[in-house]
Formats: sequence, C-alpha cells, structure tokens
Amino acid sequence: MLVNGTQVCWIHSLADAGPLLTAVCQAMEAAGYPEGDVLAVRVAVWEALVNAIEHGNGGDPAKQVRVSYVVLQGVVLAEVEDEGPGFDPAQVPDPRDPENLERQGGRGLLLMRHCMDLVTHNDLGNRVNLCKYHSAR
Amino acid sequence: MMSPRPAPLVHARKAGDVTLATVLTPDLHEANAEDLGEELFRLGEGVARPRLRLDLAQVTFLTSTVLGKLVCLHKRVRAAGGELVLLNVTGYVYEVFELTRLHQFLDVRRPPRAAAS
Repeated sequence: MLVNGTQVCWIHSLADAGPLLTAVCQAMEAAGYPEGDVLAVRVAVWEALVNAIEHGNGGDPAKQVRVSYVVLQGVVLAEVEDEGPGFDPAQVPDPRDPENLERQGGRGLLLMRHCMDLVTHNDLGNRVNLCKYHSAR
Repeated sequence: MMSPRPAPLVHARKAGDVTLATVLTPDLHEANAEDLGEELFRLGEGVARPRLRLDLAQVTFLTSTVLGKLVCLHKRVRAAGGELVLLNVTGYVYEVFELTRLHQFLDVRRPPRAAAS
C-alpha cells in the first residue's frame, strides 16, 4: 500500500489485535467518520485478523500477520497478509444457504463484504485488501 | 497464588421454568467467546427442556465466531427439547442476524417498540 501516512505493524495473536483496532478506530473518529463507519471497519478488520491468525497462520504464534492501514479524509484502506498457503474465496460456501445455516463457522468473509465497500484478495489468497468510503461524503 | 476469576459475562436469574440471562458486555468476540459459550452452556446443563432467554440489549459488537457459539447453543438446547430466544437485539447486531439469515434459524427478537415500528 503506497499511500502517505500508512501505518504498518506485525501481529502474532489476537491479543495484539485490540490495540491495533483501537488505533484504527481512534484515527477514524479524529477524521470525522460516522459511528457506523467506525463500527463497520472494526468488524471487518477484526474478521480479517481472525482469518489470518487462526486459518492462514493456523494459530501458530511464531508466524506473523502484516497489517497496514491508512485513514484518509474520504476513505480507509487496510491490508492484512498472513504467512499461510492462502485460499480461494470463490470456494467458500455461502453461509446463507439453507444447508449451511446450522454450521458453526464460515460467516467471517460475508461480514467483511457487508461492512466494507470493497474486499479483494491477492491471487494466492493470503492477503486481503479492505476499502471503506466515508459514508457522509 | 490463584489468578483472579474473570468477571462474569452474563447475569442469569430464574423466572419460573425460564432462565433469563443478560449479557453484561458490549463486545462479544474471540477473546471472550469461549468463556461466554461455557457460561451459557452451563445454564442449560442438567435441565430437562431448558427454556433460555438471552438478553443482548447491551451488545453492540459481535463477531462471526460468537454467531457460531449461538448456533451451537441453540442446537444443544433444541436437542434437549428446550428453546433459546435472543431478546432486545438492536442495531448492527440485528443487522448481522438478518445478513447471515440466522434470524430464520434462531428466534431473534428486537425490543418491543423497535419490533412494532
């Protein structure tokens, strides 16, 4: 992500996720984003971190997740990359299908897509890019 | 020295054969999902046909893992011949149940005034 003001950090576990999310949310509040936008980004980045740490890195604390984000006046961009083998998002079953409703997992990607304006993965599937526009601008 | 017990995530009380459990934290996510699941599963343990009401009025942030816990709890309660009702679900949290269509599978209720509007 080549945007001035981009913050980059590396995390190993969900214990590190709280302070990171707090920093993102505080930056959005300072930039005047509505409460709903802040909540949406908080949800989406959290789900991306859970996917990266638990699925991508298999919960291995020796592996790291690279997170970068930037909060601009009109848009928030975030990127989450793990050290795992990646996955094909197109192969993730739709959790809303009746046969999947009783499954315990598989809703993280749906929440991410709902909360953000744009969610894309790299070809390998171990990096997700999230984009949220300021809803009042 | 024993480590301090974590603060409970729910407050439960009995009203007849119904257990009303109120979630006490606004944030439900991976860091407390296991504890929440244990506390909720315990409420239905050893009870024939448990009738559980879970008040989510204070909850404003909830992740997919917690949705999974609620699905699991619902299945366990249903298997025991009981029922689980989620009460006072508002805002983003209700939106999530609709988005995932879990409101068709779980008994998800908004506050009376919101449901009427």
